[in-house]
Amino acid sequence: MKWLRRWQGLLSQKPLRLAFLGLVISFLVSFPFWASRYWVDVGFYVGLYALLGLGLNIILGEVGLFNLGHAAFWAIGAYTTAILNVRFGIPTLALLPISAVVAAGCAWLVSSPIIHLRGDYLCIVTIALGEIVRLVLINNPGGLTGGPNGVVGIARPVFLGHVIRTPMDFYFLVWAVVILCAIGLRQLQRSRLGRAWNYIREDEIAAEAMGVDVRALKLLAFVVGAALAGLAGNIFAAKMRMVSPDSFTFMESCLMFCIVLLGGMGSIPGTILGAALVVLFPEIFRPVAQYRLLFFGLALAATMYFRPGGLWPRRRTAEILVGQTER
Amino acid sequence: MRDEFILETQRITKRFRGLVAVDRFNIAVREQTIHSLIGPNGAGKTTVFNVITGIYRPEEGKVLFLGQVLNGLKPHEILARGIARTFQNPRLFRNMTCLENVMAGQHAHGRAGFWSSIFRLPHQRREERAIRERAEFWLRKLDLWRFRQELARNIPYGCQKLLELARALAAQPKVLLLDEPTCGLNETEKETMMNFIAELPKEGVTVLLVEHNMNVVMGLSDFITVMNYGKKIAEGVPEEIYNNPVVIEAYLGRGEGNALTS
Repeated sequence: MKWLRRWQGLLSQKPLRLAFLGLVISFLVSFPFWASRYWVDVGFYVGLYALLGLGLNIILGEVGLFNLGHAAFWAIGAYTTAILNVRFGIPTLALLPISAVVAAGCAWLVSSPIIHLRGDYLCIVTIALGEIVRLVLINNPGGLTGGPNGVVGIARPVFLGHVIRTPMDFYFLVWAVVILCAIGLRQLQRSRLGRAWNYIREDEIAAEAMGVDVRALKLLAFVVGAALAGLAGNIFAAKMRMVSPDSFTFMESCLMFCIVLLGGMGSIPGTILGAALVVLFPEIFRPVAQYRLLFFGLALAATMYFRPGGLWPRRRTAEILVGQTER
Repeated sequence: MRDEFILETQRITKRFRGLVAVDRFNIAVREQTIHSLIGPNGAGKTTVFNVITGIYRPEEGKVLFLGQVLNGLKPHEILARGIARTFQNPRLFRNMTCLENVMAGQHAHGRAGFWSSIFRLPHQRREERAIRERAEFWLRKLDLWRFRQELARNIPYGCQKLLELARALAAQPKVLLLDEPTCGLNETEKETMMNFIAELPKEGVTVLLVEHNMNVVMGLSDFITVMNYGKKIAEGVPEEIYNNPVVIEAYLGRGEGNALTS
């Protein structure tokens, strides 16, 4: 694992970091042009889970709140898109920000009464939240969610007259959103609010004593994390053209949790790497399909043993703050 | 020294189930002085700190700061009013750099919100720069500059104590509550810490100090309040406290000798 650390050390130098970023971006852009449709689809799912992971990373990675019900916000985003599009004919792409806002609003509502809970207690309540949302969807309140069958017939998104339909189109849609979100989150990380999130994770009492409004900032984390899940829900609904409760199980929340832990709590590149591993793993081990989960568990255990901070943790000591000069 | 009370508690009481940790306790701190709060272990000194800073809510009594009642305010609101504190065992943000730790002190004075942080608007950049420069100022002042990019958990214990002090001072407090600042330090570090604390009133910072080390207390204090079993048992300038039989009894029990000469 020494090579990983050395690799990270190299990346803390600005020209090398820019070169690496350029390489990654050109790989991401060129990928759908030379890969098969199947792998482009896999690439789409990496992007989708990266988006979900980035959302959970704010809550779990930056603030350290154990949230094992993140799939609920994903579901809310997806169903918002499905219902508003099928019932009211609002264009799917226009629903992208609306789904984010609805998911964020729901997150604010449900997390306000539970935000003071700590550690395991919060974890259990969020598991329950995830299940409640799924069961509500199955029970078809007001005939809105279509029960176990879900909602079908979501229109394809249209971007400036171009219908988004092929795997390649969706690949670019999801990765564009991921990259925009990653840039925004990077800015937040280096701001007063991002630091305050980390202060809470490190020591809640000290953070409060140093003037951090712990409650407000925890709520903000939930709201922003849920908004990203809402975006992912919209894209997922548009891709599938249908939504059903089976897609938003507890297992999905666990996968997102693994993405953040595997990649490195509070690390944006780590989360994207984690998403890639979690999505690619079952694909690579398809030949030994029946043992896939076994290998997955082993790989997780091995990572936690050899790199407890995740595969690509955030390296604060190497970070130069904005406008800072070395003296 | 000015003749005004900047911080006052009036008959505050804090109970933990049956135990009365603080019992109708009064303390009045004059502006720009060093006021020590001493007493045997378990006397309730740290509880008084926690009541003043809003971590505990008192069952009775009032906390007054610059004539305003602080009761019911949350800790972060109290810091914003101008009361900062350190903890007995340093409570640093261990996995963050020393610079980031000191920057925490200024969180309450920042304005930049969510969107201006995402888009790095000009006023947010200016504010970030100001926050960083003030943090760097305190790091230099406390001789922690060499550690600025180190994680707080990796620096020596004595420096961690200083770092916590720097973090509290970066909040530009009017009153600073120090909970055993020299505990666990070696002689040289103790000296550095004492010299530094002694300078604070001149810079406009009033200090309320909890400390066990009598050399530190006698050397620094303008005024001393002694408490035992949650109650105030004596109050006065160091010389008065030094020879006060009630205080000696609280520390040593009834008998011969002076506890405070050690």
